[in-house]
Amino acid sequence: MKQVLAFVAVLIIAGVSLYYAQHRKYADAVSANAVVDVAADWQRDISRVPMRITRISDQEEKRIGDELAQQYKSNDAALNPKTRATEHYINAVGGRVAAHAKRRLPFRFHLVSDNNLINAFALPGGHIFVGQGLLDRMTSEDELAFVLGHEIEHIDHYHAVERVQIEAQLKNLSLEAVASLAQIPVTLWQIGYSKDEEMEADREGLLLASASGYSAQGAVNLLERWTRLRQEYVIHAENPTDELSQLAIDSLTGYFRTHPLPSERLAQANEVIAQDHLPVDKPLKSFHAE
Amino acid sequence: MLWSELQPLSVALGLAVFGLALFELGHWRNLKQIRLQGYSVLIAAFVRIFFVNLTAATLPGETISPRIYTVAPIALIYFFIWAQMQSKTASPESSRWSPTDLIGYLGTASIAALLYFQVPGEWIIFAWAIAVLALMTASLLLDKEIFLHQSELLVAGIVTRALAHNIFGGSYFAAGNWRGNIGILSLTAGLLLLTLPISFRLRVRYAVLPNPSLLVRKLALRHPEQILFFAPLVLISFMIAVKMNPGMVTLSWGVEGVMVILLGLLVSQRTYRITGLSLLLLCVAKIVVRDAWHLGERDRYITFIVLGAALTLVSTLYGKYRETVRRLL
Repeated sequence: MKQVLAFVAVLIIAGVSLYYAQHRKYADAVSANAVVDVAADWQRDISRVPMRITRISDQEEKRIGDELAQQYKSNDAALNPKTRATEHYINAVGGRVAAHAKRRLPFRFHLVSDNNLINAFALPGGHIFVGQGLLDRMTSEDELAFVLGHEIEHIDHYHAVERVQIEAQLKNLSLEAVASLAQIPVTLWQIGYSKDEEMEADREGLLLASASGYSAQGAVNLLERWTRLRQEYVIHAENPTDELSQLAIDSLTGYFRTHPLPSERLAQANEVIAQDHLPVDKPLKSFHAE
Repeated sequence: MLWSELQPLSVALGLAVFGLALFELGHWRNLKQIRLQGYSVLIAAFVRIFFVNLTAATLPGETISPRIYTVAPIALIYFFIWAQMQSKTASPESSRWSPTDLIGYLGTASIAALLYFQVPGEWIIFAWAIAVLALMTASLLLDKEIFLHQSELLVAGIVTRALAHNIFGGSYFAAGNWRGNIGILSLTAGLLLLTLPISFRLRVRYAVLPNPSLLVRKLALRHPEQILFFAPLVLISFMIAVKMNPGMVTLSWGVEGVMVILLGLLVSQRTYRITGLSLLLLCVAKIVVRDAWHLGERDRYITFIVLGAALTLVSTLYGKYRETVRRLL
């Protein structure tokens, strides 16, 4: 009798859960992200130990960063007066945010005048590149401050320089030689970091932007928008065949694309705001690139 | 049909319910084939959670994460089936090939995976330590070795994760942040040490079993008190070395050594006492080789005074309990 009652209880619990899962409005995408996240986080954790021991000096990091930035800027189209003004603007905002960074590095902000580049990335030593496509989708300066704070923290917390160290080790490159640095593709920094590193950059970047006088609501607005966008644009497989092909594509292209879900980033931002009593009622500064 | 018709998030749970139904049918009609099909479906449900459920997003306004309400019931199903398989009539095949253990492991692995994805990164070791405490308690109350094995595997996971993530992989700027610094590690080590009384009782219980062949099995069954003592000790020692102010490392190791010796005397464990003495010797060696020459004046004086007092205390204790110590050695 006891067993029958326990069986019925298990069935009821499973049935209720099944009902809730079936009636959830959000359709979760099938992916190998769980396995990928675990692999990327463990890889990062394990590589951190030798990274700590073989840490390169700030001076060396700046030299490497300058070389890399020079290469990437030479590949980019020249700026016109309008885009130059935009670059000046992001430098002004970035400078305010970077003033609160932990490491004293010469942070410089560059515009990539590509309307399709909806991304920003940081190079070692203090160079941060922002795509025009990303700026086009911003509605307030507070959002820009959060994005720049996030990228600054990738440099501040040695995420960017550790990428160079690992790449140099894997390809057996000498970081002394300029020719060796030329072999390191920019995509190494564009593809994002491990989930832990991205969450750390988000957390610290939000604090940095807030310390610089920007409203934390900017970060919330941006992440809410990305959550909605992801929901709209992510491919939702309708049947097992679609799922399997989606999974295969995702596994091939997604190994290093380990950005956490926007909803997780949003949840963390709200948690940081509550914990650190960050002001969200400050008026948002308008975005004026021109 | 389940895969096609259910929402992606529900498929694993649907498979688990189907596996449960197959198992119950096989159990009721005593059909091994049906039970085996049930196990296969249950394994498929476990694999499936890694492709949707564990990364399911918690949306604003959702009070319970979809990870929890889809993975926890699956684990419950595994444990329910495992409990049923404990009765002798349930799985006659268990003597040759043990699906009982497999199902038990799937249940715990689901919970461990859920904790890994649900809890913030630095808290995972603490959540797993709670699971270890629960498993050890279950092993004691239900008299099931499987939970002892699982808890020891989880302890290995905790040590690896803590060293890689919390100690060496933590943020470079967490000095003022207790979460990234010593708080979580201390809580975890404390929880693991809390399981020591259970470990001693389990050691007594399993000491009467015939000698197991494998070393791991032997350690797990016969000496859980060693694993559950050395795991937190390793964590605390590395935490002190990496996270503490360099001037206070020797002093902290000295205090740790004294505590370990006292614990060794209290529970009459030779390995504990030897470990404590080794820690104190390490401190003396470190003072001679490094601290005497490199430490600041204040740290040097404090270290010398506290370590001197610690050595005197240990020497007094050994003098006072000479006979007991000799008997135990």
